[in-house]
Amino acid sequence: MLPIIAHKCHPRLIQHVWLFSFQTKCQRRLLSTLPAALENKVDAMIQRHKDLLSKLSKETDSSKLGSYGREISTLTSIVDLALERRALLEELETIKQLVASEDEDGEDLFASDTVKIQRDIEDIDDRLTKRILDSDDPDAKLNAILEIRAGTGGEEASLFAGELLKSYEKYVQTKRWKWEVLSSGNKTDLGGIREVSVSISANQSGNYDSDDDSLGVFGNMRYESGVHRVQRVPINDTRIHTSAVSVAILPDNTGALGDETAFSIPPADLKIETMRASGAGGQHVNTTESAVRITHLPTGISASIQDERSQHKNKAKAMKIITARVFSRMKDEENTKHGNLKAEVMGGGDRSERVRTYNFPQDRVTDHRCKFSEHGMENLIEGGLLVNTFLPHMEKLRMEVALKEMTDH
Amino acid sequence: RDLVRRRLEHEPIQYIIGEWDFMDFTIKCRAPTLCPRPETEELVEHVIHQIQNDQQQHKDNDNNPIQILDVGCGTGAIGIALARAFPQAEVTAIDIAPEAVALSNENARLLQLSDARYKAQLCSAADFTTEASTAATSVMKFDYVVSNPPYIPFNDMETLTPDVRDHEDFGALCGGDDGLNVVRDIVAMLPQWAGESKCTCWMEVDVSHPIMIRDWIGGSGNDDVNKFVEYRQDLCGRDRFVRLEVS
Repeated sequence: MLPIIAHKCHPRLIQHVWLFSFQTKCQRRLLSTLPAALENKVDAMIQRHKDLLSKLSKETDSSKLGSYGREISTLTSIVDLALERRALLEELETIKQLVASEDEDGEDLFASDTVKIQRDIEDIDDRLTKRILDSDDPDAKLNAILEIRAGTGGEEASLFAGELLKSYEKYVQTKRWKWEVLSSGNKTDLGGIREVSVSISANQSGNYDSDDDSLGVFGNMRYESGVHRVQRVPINDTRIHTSAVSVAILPDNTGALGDETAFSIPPADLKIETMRASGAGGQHVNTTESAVRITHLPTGISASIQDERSQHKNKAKAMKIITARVFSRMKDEENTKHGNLKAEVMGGGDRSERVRTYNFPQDRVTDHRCKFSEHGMENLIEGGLLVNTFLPHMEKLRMEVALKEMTDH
Repeated sequence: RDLVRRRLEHEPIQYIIGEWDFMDFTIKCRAPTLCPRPETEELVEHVIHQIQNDQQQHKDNDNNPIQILDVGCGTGAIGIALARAFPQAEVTAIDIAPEAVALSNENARLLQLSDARYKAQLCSAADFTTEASTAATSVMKFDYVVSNPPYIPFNDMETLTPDVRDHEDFGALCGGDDGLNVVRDIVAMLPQWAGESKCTCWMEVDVSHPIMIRDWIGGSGNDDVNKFVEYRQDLCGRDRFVRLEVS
């Protein structure tokens, strides 16, 4: 347990600093000091925070209050940390002056205090950096839609797609999130799947807790997006086959964290069709065929669902999927503008990017972005451990990329 | 094996299973009561949007319960969906078939809707006068009237597929020669059913009807009280829904 200076720290901060320091033991420290670019950004944010607070007290237009409030709560989490940091720096300065005015014993007397303060500042720097970078990354807290598609490799690919699906389901169970299959195609002869869409959602507590650094569903799972390549000897052969499964994690912005920020497609952009085009319809026909296809006219993206017994439910599921797909496409285009590495790391970019290779003979999974490998394939897949194994490394990579981008501009 | 035989005899799957999904809930289905169609879900969605819009505009108004009348309730699907969507709504439902009345009430209870929130009774549209209404439920006036009345023109009846023709209630399907018999009854009764303030009537009808109804009411119809507001198509692109208003 990291020693904490009692004053200026409320219990939540203690808990989080401990938790974060535990996390940082698992990864190399990001920085030794706060870079100038971030210092400037922090100062700008503190100023903006002040400006917003005074605007808020004078604003009469109620529609603006909501957006001011939201921006303020995002900034507050950063500003609070920044002010903590300033206070600690002042304390350090005070101690230095005391030491200078004392004799030599003074330095020893304050040595342990100085060390404590410096370590606290470093921890705050890491947390601050993360929060600043995260403020540019609002999607992390969203729920997600998981889409798995078997690629090249025929039956083998389908089988592995099924195994990945089970692995993710196990993972979602351990996180106690909700797992709802939106649409699944038929199973292949050997029990594999060709394509599936799943809605994964966490319990949203409604109020955005600005002290909560934890990632939402999307933030946790987004690095799974891309092509997963499998090398193994299939059930029905003796030679090694290579097959591919494509995974997509789409941010699900429907009705999370307050409806005003939820992304929704203008109805005029959508074409909704049913499959029952001919005949008189209505009371004339008792049909249980209630498939719905929705097409997003500007992009051509479409989604069709037929699993449910009511047209209403099929339409609701199709809307969920198409909203996520369109939103994701928009985000990908935005990220690609910032350069390919960011796009790839943020879980977008070229969806045909090979992100992981599962080499069964060597019992090793490798992620090609963070260059990290892990052994024990069976345990990783069946234990639902894939996400957690690579998450810390990918998070670190994302932050390095984001930091670089910030300092480059 | 028995199930297969029934299916081979074109018995609707909803009757075989005994239930089906409508909107976001499950209702019991039993011969010969009409099985809800997807178009009827769309009807409910239109009504829900309407009521939500009306509520937005009259935010400061009374907290009186919304009174809804479902004419020809069948399985109860429409009225039950509306009761579920609006906790402050009270739904009265009528049907001329005893089986339908029983089934509607049964479905409502199964879905936790009390007597006060949903009550179906045996009565035709034409007979549902103020006296009949008050005797049973003490509700005299309605804010919304919703109906999926029998609307198939007589000559179409023999062209229906066996699962509909041989298993579902003729009286729930056929609306007379032009299919508009029950619609006419409803329109005639609307002024009586309407309360002091506006009453909106949404109906699902045959593809041939919306234009006919518009020309009849909106034009030089004998009706200065009822107003034809609009008609809409269903998701299959057919003219399907009409909205009338009494003010």
